[in-house]
Amino acid sequence: MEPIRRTPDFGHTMRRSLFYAALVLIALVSVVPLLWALTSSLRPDDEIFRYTTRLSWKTLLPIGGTIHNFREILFEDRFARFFGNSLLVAGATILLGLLVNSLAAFGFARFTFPGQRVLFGFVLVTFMVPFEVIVLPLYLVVRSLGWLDTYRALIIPAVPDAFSIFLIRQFMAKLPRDMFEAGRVDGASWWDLYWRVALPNVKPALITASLLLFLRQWDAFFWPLVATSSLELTVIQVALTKYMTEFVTYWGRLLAGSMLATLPIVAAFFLLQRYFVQSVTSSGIKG
Amino acid sequence: MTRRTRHLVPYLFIAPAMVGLGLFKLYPIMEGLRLSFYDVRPIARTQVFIGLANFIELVQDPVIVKAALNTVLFNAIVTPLQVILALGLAVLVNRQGRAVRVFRSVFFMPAVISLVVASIIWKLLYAPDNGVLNGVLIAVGLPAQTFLTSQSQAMPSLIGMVVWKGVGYWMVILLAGLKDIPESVQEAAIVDGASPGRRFFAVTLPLLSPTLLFVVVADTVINFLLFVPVYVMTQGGPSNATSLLMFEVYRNAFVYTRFGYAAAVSTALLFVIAIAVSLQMRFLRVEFEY
Amino acid sequence: MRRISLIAAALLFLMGLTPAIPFGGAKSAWAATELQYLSVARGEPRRQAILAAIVDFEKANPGVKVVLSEIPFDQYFQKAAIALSSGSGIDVFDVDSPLVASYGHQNALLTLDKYYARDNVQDFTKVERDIATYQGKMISAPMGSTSVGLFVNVDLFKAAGLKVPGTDPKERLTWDQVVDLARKVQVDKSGNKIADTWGFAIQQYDRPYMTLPLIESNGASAIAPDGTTVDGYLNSAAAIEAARWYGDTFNKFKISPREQVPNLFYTGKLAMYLAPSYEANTLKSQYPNVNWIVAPHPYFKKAVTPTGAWHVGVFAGTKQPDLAVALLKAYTDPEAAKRNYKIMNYMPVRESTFKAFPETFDVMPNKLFYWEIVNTAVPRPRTPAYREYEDLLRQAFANIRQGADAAQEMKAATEKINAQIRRYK
Repeated sequence: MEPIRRTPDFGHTMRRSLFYAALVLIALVSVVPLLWALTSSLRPDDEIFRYTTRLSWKTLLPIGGTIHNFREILFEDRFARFFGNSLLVAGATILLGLLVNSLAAFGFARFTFPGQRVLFGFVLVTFMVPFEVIVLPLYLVVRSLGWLDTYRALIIPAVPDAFSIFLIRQFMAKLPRDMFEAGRVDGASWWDLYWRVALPNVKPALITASLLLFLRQWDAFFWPLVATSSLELTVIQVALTKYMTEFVTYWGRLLAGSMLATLPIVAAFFLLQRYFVQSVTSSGIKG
Repeated sequence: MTRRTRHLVPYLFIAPAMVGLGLFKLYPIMEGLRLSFYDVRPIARTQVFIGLANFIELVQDPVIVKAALNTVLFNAIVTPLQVILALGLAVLVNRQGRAVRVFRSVFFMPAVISLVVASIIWKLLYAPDNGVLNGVLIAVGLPAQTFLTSQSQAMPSLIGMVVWKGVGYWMVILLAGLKDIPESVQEAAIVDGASPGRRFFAVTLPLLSPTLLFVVVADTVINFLLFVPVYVMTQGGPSNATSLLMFEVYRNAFVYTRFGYAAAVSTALLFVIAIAVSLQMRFLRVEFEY
Repeated sequence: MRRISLIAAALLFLMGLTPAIPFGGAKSAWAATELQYLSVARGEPRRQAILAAIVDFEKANPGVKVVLSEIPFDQYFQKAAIALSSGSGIDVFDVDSPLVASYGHQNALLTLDKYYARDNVQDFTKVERDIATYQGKMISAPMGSTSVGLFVNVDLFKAAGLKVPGTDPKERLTWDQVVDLARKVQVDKSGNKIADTWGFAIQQYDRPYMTLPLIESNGASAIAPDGTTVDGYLNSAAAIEAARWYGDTFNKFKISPREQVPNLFYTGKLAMYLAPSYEANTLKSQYPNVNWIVAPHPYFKKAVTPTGAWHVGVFAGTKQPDLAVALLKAYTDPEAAKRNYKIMNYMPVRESTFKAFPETFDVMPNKLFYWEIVNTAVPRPRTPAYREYEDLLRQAFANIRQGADAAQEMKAATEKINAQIRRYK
């Protein structure tokens, strides 16, 4: 009995270590550039580029580190406000975007109607055109709506989103037909089918679309710069450019600010990731 | 509900999004298309109709032709690389366990940091004479590389950075697709005695194909429209080795303030993207059944 | 699901209620008139200069409110282009001094002659007055300028046993001497062929602001006197020779890093740094540990130094030209100019400012910078196509820095720049 049991255990251990070795390697590649940024954010400005030419352990370890950069940002700048603005803009975009785009996705996925292909083609075209080309006409549209320098200018144009429509449509289209036909027989309205049947069954798509919308707004920079001017509406990425002034770049603060704009989001992802992953292990090597 | 009004139902569903897209995207796009037939001096606020002159100029413009070739090459490498790596990672971390949760978050990190800041960081890492990467190479006894500063290495270096930035993002979306595959299907395959590899190609991949199609198309479009890394790291150089069409759109619009010509370049870009996307949809043989 | 829909509805409702913050000439109950000032972001404490000017202006013009937008330098031109072309969000704005001609050509700037007394105009330095003039009209008001010198790390020179270069214009080094010194002072402790301490670097190493004086010092010109062509100028033998020397500093002499990691001079890893006047202030205030002096800008055949920085202009389409000019003058007239100098540390653009601070302009390094501005400064070419000129020449120098052939690059740039200049006829 003994040898028979040991063999699979040994193979299992091997596979396990290989698996973790691969993970660690990929994790290093992902994280080392950011680690350099993180340790640099913990240095005074005249230390940041001191250890790049000749590599030493000091390159990645902030010896004599300082939290001065973080303190400066958190207590002397209105970082919380800017961070909050980005959260508000991204949050509102998600809520409105999920509603508007999932409605359209349902329309495209579960109906056949004249003009459908053309309209869906239009939807797809809207994400193939660079923002830099449409920024001036978009600015004029937003101005004529009287939205310049308001949260609306930052939120509403980002709400209707071809990526989200496309993504949610992909998930809705593969739902089994009888799921809906049963509902129709029971006399459910189309709204009921959308709200009670379709939406609950495409939660992964909704969560992913939220992530798409969130990251897009979180990284938004050029449009907020164009569409708003008051300090009260400054979003995080625009606020960060403040540390690149005409003459001096405050590297420590720039990198510290970038870390502050990144790490809370990663932490949130860490907590929320159960929504992205299968609840029970059922594929590949058991971990 | 009468028969008449029933025909309106799908239109009602798509109406809010279509109105928004029309106002904030389609109208500006149409305006851009119109401007591609004009000589636009935005600051002087003049527009002169010049017919196809912008398009005739762009096919003869060696910089644009080079940028178009670069763009095709860049996408032909970056998009498959990102999708395959993202798929591999997604399968690898699609399981339970605290350690895996941490790894998943770590892989996702590059996707969250701002593209501008990530580009600045990589430019510094790549610096040939005092960057960290060459520091590492020299420390382990390898020769220093030129990275972004030579024609031969600039494009691979750019691709490396872009792949690094994007993989985690697509991994998460593919994870959502994996989660959507019913466990009963997987378990049935296990009961049938299929090997893990076979299960992946015979069961997982076909069921993942709607998500995969989305990822391929979306990734393609995003990569075609990418220009911040080029702007920050190389400005298209050396000798236009890393110039992408999108960077030329930017350069013509906001360096040379030639909005008309920029619109023409972006119209050309739109055609390239549309062709690429329709090929993908055909190649991946996913029907658009409604 | 239900909760989410409620939140969404509430959000929609709230956003409908949020009153639009007034923007671009929009009138509201609490301010009769608004003026928009579009400024480049200068950071603290330097932004206090425009804030002080706004306070002065609002005191003198009760009921008028100035809305200030500060835009990062990298995005400033884009934001200005959108504001100017849409005609909103801009009345008075910072003008990058080499772009005065470009804005002038596109009729974006209000002519200022009728608002200026003669002695007020004459107070501007000659070189700045020239920059502000397009087709015989004054269309911008100079606000701040720069000069360039060779910043030298004294400690590194002493450690190498070398004589520290002199600071008087008479002791100006030739570029050949700089190469020689750089080779001697450079250190490669680890022996890995990559210097630990570099000999020489140019701050904005491919911008025409700093590269044009190289070719001009060698006897070439940046553009034809009438501004219609660069053929025979940028592709002249003298220009190509200087451009080749530029490439050699990176690739042959290897005294300069091909990509600059920031802060090299600040962290004591660079011996000679060709850099603008404002670096003196940064060094004093933020890097007091560096022991430095400023030597005159080196030369090939004759001394040429860069100059220029910021002017202020009034948008030609403003609805309030008189008020806008009053705001411009509150920021650039002689008294404001003195305050600006104290706060922002640009090189002055007015003789009266230079004279008001003998304690700084009679001593080094400002004495040197003042001397250069009066005697050797050459502004960047005044052509409507300057944006294109700068971008194309910058690409050429970047390519040369990365090893491309100087003659080929300068010839190609000449052709491309001429094609762009022709578009402005």
